[in-house]
Amino acid sequence: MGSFVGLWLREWHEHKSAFVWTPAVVLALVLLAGLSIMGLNDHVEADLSDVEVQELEDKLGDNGREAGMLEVLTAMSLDAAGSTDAELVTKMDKLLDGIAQPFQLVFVIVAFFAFIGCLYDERRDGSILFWKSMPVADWQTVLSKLTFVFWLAPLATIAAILIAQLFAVTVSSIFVESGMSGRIWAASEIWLRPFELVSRYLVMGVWALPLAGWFMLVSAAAPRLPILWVFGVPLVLTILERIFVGTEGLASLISGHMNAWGGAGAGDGVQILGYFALLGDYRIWLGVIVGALLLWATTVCRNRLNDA
Amino acid sequence: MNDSAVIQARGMRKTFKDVRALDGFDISVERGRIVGLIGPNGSGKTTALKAMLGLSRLDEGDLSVLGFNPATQRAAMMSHVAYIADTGILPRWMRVKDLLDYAENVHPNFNREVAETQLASTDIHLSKKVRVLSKGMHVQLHLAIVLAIGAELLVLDEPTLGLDILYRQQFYDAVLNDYFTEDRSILVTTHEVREIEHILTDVVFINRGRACLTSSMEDIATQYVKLTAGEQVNAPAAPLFQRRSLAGTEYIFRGVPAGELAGLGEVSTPNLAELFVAVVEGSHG
Repeated sequence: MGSFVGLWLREWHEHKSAFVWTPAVVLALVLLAGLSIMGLNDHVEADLSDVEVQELEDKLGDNGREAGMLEVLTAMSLDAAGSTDAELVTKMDKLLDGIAQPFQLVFVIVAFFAFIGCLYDERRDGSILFWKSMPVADWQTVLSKLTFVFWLAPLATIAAILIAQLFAVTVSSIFVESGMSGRIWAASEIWLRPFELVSRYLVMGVWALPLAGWFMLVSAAAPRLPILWVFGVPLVLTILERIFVGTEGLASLISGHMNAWGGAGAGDGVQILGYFALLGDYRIWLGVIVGALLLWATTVCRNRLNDA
Repeated sequence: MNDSAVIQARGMRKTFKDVRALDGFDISVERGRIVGLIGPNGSGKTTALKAMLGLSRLDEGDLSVLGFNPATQRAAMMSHVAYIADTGILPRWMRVKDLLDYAENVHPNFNREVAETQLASTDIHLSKKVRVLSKGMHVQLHLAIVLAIGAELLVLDEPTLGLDILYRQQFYDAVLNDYFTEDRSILVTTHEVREIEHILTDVVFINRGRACLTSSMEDIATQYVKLTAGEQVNAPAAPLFQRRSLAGTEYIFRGVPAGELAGLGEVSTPNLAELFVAVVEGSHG
């Protein structure tokens, strides 16, 4: 384990700017957008009919006159007073999941580039000779890179999402109709969100194993431009299959696996078990087997590539 | 296998497409020796080193490094072996301090104090990125890491290529004074044969994938003689090699006592570059 800590630290030093600074920038943008909307007073009311404004001001009570766009929108969309507890949970879940989305999208992009560069860059700059002069086996290197991206790197994204969600709940609870802030906090289920996010990334790693295996194999083997190989090989194989065999087996396998993630964690409110339910799908384990084979091939490639 | 042999290789063969890089190469490196592996570009030097470091696999041959099979036991072997290559291979994006952390975390024998003491005598700051270091500093840093590892075998592949003369001298001084002991061994390749000639205990000449001379430096001094004569002379034996130079005709003899040549011209021990040419050309002639 001692050496794995060292290997993860190495990954951390190489990728900290991507995995920490990117969610930090997204967080800054989200907070900035929130604050700037709050600052836009008065203009909002011009877009609303007099009746609507009056209704809102009644709901917002003492805060009414001072309310900015965000407060007005919050009050309009949440309508805590007019919702049942279950409806409020759904509304808060939509709001908080929506806030998480830009972070999650950015994480996927950063992880993709980390994977396709992880065993290619060391060959390009020659540092592979240094890494291989250390008593670290190829399988340890491959495994450390995989586990870092899947299960350690998301921690920064999770932290950023939680801060953004906490901010959103705080703002909602302040500007919601008087006396409703307690219901907002309860409906947000904010204390369960860390567990939801952790379970999401735990399961996502299992689901994405064949994808990561493919990216890493290309990274270890591509003579140049791994990004072309990553998409080019499946594309060419799909086309060849269609022309010569007349089937679309590969394409449906890939799209089937991609779609398997689609329903994970969806639902009203926090879905911790929703992600783990995905592990009951046999296609996920088929993917794990394919992923393990690709990772094994990656290790062999890294072992042999200096033969050229 | 010889117990004191750190590297033991017999019949190493490796072919790349049509090129026979190693064609039955043999080498043995004993503990406490500094062995120069000398040969022209494309002679198979790097291929042989890569096989010894577990970076590539042989087509045929027996190879053992400190009792390990490099092809299958690289990770375990590298706890005891260090390597400095011709190109700067340290990761350029890393800070010096983080590089030391890494080595400390993954290498069981790494002694951080040794590395930091070594670096303290240079201009390399721990907070610097490898990227901003000069080529000379890059080599100094790598050497500091190697010294801190305290490996039993140090493999140097053209380590001073591209360095200015000051760094070259410092490099070999540090290798001799700070690394080398009678328990450790060094295998070194370089184009600049003269630079390492005085520190070697043994040489292996490699040409076209084969060892064409394997000898200790003492044996070279006793077995080979260079004679420089003003004109053609009747030598007591057939020379291994002869050539005309500005100074006259140069002969290189093997196994001829220097005393027998004394009256014929200037007698000396050939340097490694001269001997290499003599052995390679002589074997063709």
